[in-house]
Amino acid sequence: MSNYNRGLSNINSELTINGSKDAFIEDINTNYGLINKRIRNNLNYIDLNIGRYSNTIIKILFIDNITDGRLVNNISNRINNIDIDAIIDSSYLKHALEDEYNILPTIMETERPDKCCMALMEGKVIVLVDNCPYALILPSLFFDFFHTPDDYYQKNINSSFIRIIRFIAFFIAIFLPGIYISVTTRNYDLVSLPLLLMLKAGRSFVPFSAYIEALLMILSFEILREGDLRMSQAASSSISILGGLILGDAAVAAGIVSPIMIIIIAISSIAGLIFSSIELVNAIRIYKIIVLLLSSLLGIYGTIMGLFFLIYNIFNTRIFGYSYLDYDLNELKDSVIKIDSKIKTRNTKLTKNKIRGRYK
Amino acid sequence: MKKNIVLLLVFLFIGLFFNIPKYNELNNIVIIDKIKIECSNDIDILLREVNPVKTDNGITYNYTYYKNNIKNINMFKSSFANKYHKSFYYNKVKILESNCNDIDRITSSINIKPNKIKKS
Repeated sequence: MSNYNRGLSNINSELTINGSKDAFIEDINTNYGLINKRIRNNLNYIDLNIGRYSNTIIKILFIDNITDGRLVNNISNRINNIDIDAIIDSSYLKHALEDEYNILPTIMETERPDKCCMALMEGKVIVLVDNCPYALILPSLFFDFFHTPDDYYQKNINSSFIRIIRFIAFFIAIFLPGIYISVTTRNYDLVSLPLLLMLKAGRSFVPFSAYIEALLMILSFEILREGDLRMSQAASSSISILGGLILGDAAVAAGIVSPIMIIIIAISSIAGLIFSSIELVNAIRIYKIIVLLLSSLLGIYGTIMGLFFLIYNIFNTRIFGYSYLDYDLNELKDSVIKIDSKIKTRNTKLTKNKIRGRYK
Repeated sequence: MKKNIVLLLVFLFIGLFFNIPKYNELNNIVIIDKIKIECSNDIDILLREVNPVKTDNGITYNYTYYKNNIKNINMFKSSFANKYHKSFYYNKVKILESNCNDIDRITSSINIKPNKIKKS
C-alpha cells in the first residue's frame, strides 16, 4: 500500500519557546515512534481496532510500573464498547470517555510528543488514533490545562510567575464582563465617583442596555474569531483589519457601543485565548455568558453566584473516578506555582509509584 | 447537566430574597454630589447633579439643580422621586451643606453619608 503520510512538521497550536518542535502526524506508527524515541523502557501499549467500516487502529499507551492498571482497563473497556461506523478523529472517542454535558474539559488533546511523555511519567494514559495528529491525555485534571511544557523547561520562579498570570487571566476572562455589567446597572457603590462619572460619560450616547451591548460585542468578537480561523492565511489578515475597524473605530463613532465596553470585552476575550486547549477556551466562553446573564439579573450577587457555580463544577467533576481538582499535597506544589524539591514525586492519587527521581 | 440547571435556578430563586438593587442604566440615574438643606418653617432642599460630558479634551462636568420644599425630613427621597420622576443616586454625595441644628439626626434619617458636612 502506498505511503500517503506527510512528513514530520512543526507544532501549529501549542507553541513554546524552549523544547522540541516536532509534532504528531496522521500516521499512528510515526506518532508511537516519536514517543518511543523519548521513553525507551517499560513503554507498553494495547492495540484496538474500532469502527465497523474504518477499522481504525487505536493505541493505548502507558508505563508498566507507573500507570494504575485499573485506569488502563477502564479506558480500554470503554473504547472497546464503542460501536460506530467509523472513527475519523480522536475526538470521536471523547464522547465515550468523558461526560459530554460537563462544561469543563477532562481530556486534553495535544500534538506535542514531549507533553505526552511528561503525562506518561505522571501515570497518565495516552491514546493515539490512526489518521489523527492529536493524542488524548487521560485523565486531565484542572491544573493540567494551566500548564505548558515551557513551565518545565524554565526556572521555577519564571514558571510560577507565568502560571499566576494564567490564573488571573482565567478569572478575568470569565468575570470581567459580569463585574462591569453589575457596576453599571445595579451596584454603583463598588466604584469611586470619578470612575462612575467616566463610565457614565462613555455610555451617554449608547442606545442599548449594558448587557445587550456586551452580548452584541461578544457575538461580534466570536464571529470575527471564527472567520479568522476558517479563512485562508491570505484572507485572514483582511478579516483582522476589517474586524478591528468595525469593532473599534466605526462602532464607537456610530454610537452603537461605548469604548469602555470594547476594552472590557477585548481584554476578557484575549485573556481567554492564552490557553492552548480549545476545550478550555470553549468552557471559558460558556461560563462568561452564564456569569454575564446572572450579573444582569442579580448584580454583584449574581457574579458571586457565578463564582460559586464555577467552583461547584470544578469540585464536582470526576474523571475515571479521580477528582478533577487534586488535593494531593505533591500536586499542589506543581499547580498555581511551581516548587521543586530534591526528591521529585508523582501524584499519589494517580499512581502508587510515588518517587520520580532524586537530585543528589 | 440537570444538576447545573437546577443549581442555576436555585441561585436565581435565592436572589429573590436578597435586597438586590433595582436595575437602572447608568444614563438613567441622577448622580447627586452636593446637597443643601435649609431649615426654616419648612425644609428647603437643593440637590446638585453632576453630569459628565465627553469632549475632545476629555471629560467636562455639567451641573443641574433640583429644588424641593418638604415639611418632614423623612419625605426627602420620595418627594424628589415623585416631583421629578427620576432615579436619584445619593451614595456619592461629597458635600452636605446645612443650617439645621441637628445635622446628625438629619443624615441618619435620610440615610446619606456625605464626605464632608458644612454648616452654613
